[in-house]
Parts: sequence; structure tokens; C-alpha cells
Amino acid sequence: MAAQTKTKPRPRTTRAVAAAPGPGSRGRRPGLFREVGRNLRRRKLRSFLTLSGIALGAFALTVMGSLSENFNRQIGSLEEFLSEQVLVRPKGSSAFFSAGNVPVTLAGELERVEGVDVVVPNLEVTYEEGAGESFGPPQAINGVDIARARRSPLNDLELASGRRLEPGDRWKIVLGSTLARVAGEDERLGRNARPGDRVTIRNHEWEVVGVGVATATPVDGFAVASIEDTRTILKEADPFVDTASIAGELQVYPEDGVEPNDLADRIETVVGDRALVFPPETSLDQIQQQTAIFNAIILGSALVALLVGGVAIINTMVFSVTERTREIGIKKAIGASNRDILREFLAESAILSFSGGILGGVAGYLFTFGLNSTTRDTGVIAFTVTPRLALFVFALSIVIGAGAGLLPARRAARIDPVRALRTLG
Amino acid sequence: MTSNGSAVLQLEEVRRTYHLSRAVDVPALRGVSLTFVPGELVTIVGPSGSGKTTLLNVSGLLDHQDAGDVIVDGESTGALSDRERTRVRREKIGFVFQSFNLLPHLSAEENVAMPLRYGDAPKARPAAELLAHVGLAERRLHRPDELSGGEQQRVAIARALALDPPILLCDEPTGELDSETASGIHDLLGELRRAGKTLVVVTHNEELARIADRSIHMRDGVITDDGAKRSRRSAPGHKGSDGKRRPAKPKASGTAGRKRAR
Repeated sequence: MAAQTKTKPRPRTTRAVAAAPGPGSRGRRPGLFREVGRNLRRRKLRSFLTLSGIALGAFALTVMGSLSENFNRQIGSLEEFLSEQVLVRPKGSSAFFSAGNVPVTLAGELERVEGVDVVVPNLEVTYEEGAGESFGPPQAINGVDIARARRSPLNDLELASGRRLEPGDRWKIVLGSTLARVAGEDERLGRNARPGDRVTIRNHEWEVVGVGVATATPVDGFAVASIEDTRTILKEADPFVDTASIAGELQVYPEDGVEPNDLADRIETVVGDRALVFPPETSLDQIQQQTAIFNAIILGSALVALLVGGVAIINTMVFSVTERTREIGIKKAIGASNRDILREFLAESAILSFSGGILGGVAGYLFTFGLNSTTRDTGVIAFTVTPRLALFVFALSIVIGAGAGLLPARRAARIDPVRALRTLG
Repeated sequence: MTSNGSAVLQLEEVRRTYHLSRAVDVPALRGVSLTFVPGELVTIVGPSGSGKTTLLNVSGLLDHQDAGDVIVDGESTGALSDRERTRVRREKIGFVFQSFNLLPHLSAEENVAMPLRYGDAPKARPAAELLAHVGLAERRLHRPDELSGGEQQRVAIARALALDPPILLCDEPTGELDSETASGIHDLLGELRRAGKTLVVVTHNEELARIADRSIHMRDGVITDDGAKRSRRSAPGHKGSDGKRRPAKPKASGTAGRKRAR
């Protein structure tokens, strides 16, 4: 004979008293997301830990991705700089750095090459004597031949105040926005340096004639001066160098309508035995290769973190399917199709991953914002969270989460309802 | 396939064998043919392992037969896809289980409304109304662990009725209840019969067997007695083994099946 069940009616709860059904209402019909939310809340700790796995991955991807985006942004400005010029540098140089000096007499030879508009000798010295390694290009003074520099992008530096250099200017300087702040601090002005200020840089007194607008690119850390001034500074640092006859590089600009890569071939035949010639396509190739390697390392490591979060979702969902086998059987018995069950489990993993992606992405943004704030004073902005990065992080979190949930969800959908109903609830 | 025009559920030579291992096959149904008509309360009795639950699962399209056909409301289901079988199950069949099988994290009302998430029906009734119908209007927001066994089974019956299916398949619905509570459930099943539902009930309960229109006996996967005699007495429009339609008898109006049996 059947025994009386152990459960006894309990007094009505306040919940029961509070709500009454509306007329004609179909009742509290549990929608998909309501049901999914409830399932996640039923196992709070497990849901939180799984969500944390994805959040950590999204955090890592945001931080590392913003590092990569910042790098790309800086490189982007360099690409613009290089796209219209042929660089002539000493042997052993790369598109990034000049390894020594070239004889300035090459400039005269190059100007005789057909299709050359102007050759601009450039000699760069560091802004601070003995400046060490830095993240990104070092802060530097670009000494240019002002009379020839009409097409140099540095001469096109957009000014926030003051004027550009003019031929004959000596110990006059145009500061990028970061250097204007550094100079202001060095001179204890209590503000950024501005046109008319006299500042001491590399043991020389300079007159600031212009300040560039802030661009958040390496240009902010450049100053422009006369090449004669940078030659003097270099001579002081190394008295044995004949600075009057050298340049760090020669920037060759083609005449209108001349293809710079074709021009580079002609230049190669003239000076190829004494210097390296970098046509724009070679410079850009080198930069893009370096960028790709950097991005692959940075983003790859962050992706691994996100994939680990995906594995956590697989683990949780597989466990959840096993645990809820009977529930799946009941739902199938009352009319749920395989697709309904699949949808329910997929929605669960997608919500976990979406929430994790949002949480990790926001935490990553706040983290990079905090780090940028602390290093801004030193002129270093290492992280840039771009809209495309944020979108990428959220989209990838969802794709990985939903993808990770697919296998367990398919398993749940294929459960035989008869067997499921036989399992213990 | 042939079908009986008045039948709401028909099994034709249905076979189902469980393959437990390469060497061990257990035949659970061995060519079972049965016909159920609207408004009929049929009990299926037999010893453990006789195939009662398998018969119910196959009839309710939860399980797939190896041979034969199950015809639900005139629709042959043998060749239907899983998706179509789910549709037929959702629209035509309600399940009531021995252990209630309510979802523990949902309230009574939400449990009853659950089938509405997977489908809709023109005559689908609000969950609160169904709960009121089974006498649980006051307990609609209680969760299963706040309800007694009898109340849980009433919720399960209300859930089975949510999409207004013509057929209710009940697997030992009073198996976990005391006799007094079971009587209440029997009354409720009797009411559903009078409302025109076809009820197929696997049971060991003698009282329920007594009030049924027909009591089918099973042993070793075959029908040993299809209860045709009792069917002739009370199932309107039912065709007997000779294929002739039985005249409809006037129902004992206002009398519950349980009382009628007494």
C-alpha cells in the first residue's frame, strides 16, 4: 500500500498572499530568459565562478588588447609619416631606427636623381642626455634642414600655439605637447612651456616658438629644431665626430606624380653601395611584420585566458546537464522539443559569457584607465581602449561562451526522455 | 495503416524490445493492439515488468516502438520526425507521473504554465484557473516542497491539462499517496473523464480499477485481457472486438465515477 508522503502543507507564504492573477491571464508563464536566470541563481556560487573565468579572460584581452591598440595607433602615425618618402639610412638600419649616420654629401647626389623633389637631412638626438630605453619611440629632438623641410611631416606638425621654424632660426624649438609639459616641469614654470618661454634642454637655452597639439601619438614626444643645433649637441657628446658632414638619415621626397617606390629603385642604383634605401613599401612591410608579431604575442596570450574561461563554461554546463537530466526529461514530457532544450542551455552559457565579457571588459577598461592616469605624468600612455576593441572583447566572449555551451546543450537536447525520467531527481 | 474513426488513441501491433547488451534483449511489448475512445477511463494493470509503463511511454510518444504504429487523434506517428512527434505529444497528450515530476524551483502556478512556454492551444486555460479547478487556488504561489503529496499530484494534473490535450496518460498517479488522498485524485480523474478526456492509467489501485470503464491486463508484454466487457458497459461509441460500435449509454449525471463504482 502506498505510504503517505512526508511533505506536509505549510502555511501560506506572504508571496502567496501578495499576488493575484489578472483576469484572463495565462498565469506566470516562465519565459526563456526568466527560466535561464532562475537556473543560474539556483547555483549561485557555480555561476559566479564560471562567470569569473570568462571575466578574467575578457579582462586580460581588454588590457592586452588596449596595449596592442595603443601600439598600433603609434605605428599608424609612423606609417603616415613614411608613406610618401624614401628613406636613406646607414647600412644596418631598419625602418624603425637609424643605425649611425650617412654622409650629408649624399643629399646633393640624390637631388640629381630624376623625379626627386627635395632631400631633407635629419639628425635626431634624444631630448634628455643619456635617456635610456622607453616604451615606444624615445622623446627626441629632430634636427631638420629647415630650408629644405617644406615637405617634412614634422614641419606639418599641427600647432596649438606659436609658429613653425623658419630658415635661419637657431636655438629655437617647436615642442610636442608632451615635451611642452616636461619642459614646463623642468623649468618649474607651474604650467606647460609655451611660445616665448626660455627653456634649458641638453645644456642649451632655447626659445620655445611653437607647441604642437596633443595627438596621443609619438609626435607628442618630438621636438623640432634646426639640424645645426642638433649637430652641435651631438658634437658636444662626441667631439671626435665630424658632425658637419653627417645626417642620421636623408628623407627623399618625389616630385608630384612620381611613384615613391619607383623612385627608390633609381636611388638604389645611385647610393645603394653606401647606404640602405627604404622605399615606402619596404618600410611599411617591416613595420607591419613587427606589428603583426607583437599583436600575435599580446593577443594570443589574452585569447588563451579567454579560452580557459570557455573551458570553464563547458565544464559547468556538462555538469549542469548531468545534474538536470530528470528536469530535461520532464520538460520533454510536457512538450519541450530538442530545440527548446538546446536553446535553453545555449542561452544559459551565452548569458554567463556575456555577463563575464561585460564585467571583464569594464574591469579591464578601469584598470587601463588607472594605469594611464598614473603614467600620464611621465608622458607615457601605454593603453588605448578603442570601440572596436570593446566590441571585439564582448563579441568574442559571447562567441566563445556560446560555442563552449554548444556541446553540452546538444547533449542535453538529445537526452532520451524515458531514460531521463528514470534518473533520480 | 488503418484507423478507427472514433478512436482518439490507437496502437497497432506495437512491439518494443530493450537491448540491454549484445546478448540480452528484453521484449517489453510483443505486438500490442489497443483502441481508446474519447471520454474513456482505462486502467492498465499487471505485475512489475509486464510492460505497462513502456506501453504508456510508447503511447505518449516519449518512446519509439520498434514495429507497429501509434495513431493519435487519427494521425499515424510511426513515420513522423522527432519534431513532429514532439508537436503531437504537446498538443494531444498530457502526462501524470507517480512521483509528480514537478520542477522544484518553480511555484505551482509556474509549473502549470510551463507547457505554455513550449506551445499554445486555442483552448489553453490560464494556470490560475486550472489550479482553482483542482482545488489549489490558494496555493498557486507555493513551491512543490511546500505542498503535500496529494497537492503536488493535483498540480501535476493541472499541468497536464494546460494545453487542453484530449488524452491523459497517468503512470501510477496515486502510487505515492495514502488511500484518502488517492480517493481525491480518483474523483478528479473521474471528473476529467466526464469532461470528455481519455484517461489511460497504469495502476495497482483496485479502487481505481473498479471505477474504470475498462481494465486492461498485461503480462510479459502482451494483453491478457483488454477489458472489452466493461468497455461495452460504459464507453460510448467504443467498438468491441467484433468491430461493431456499441450504443452510447447515458452517463449517470452528477455522479462521480468513484461513487458510481461503489
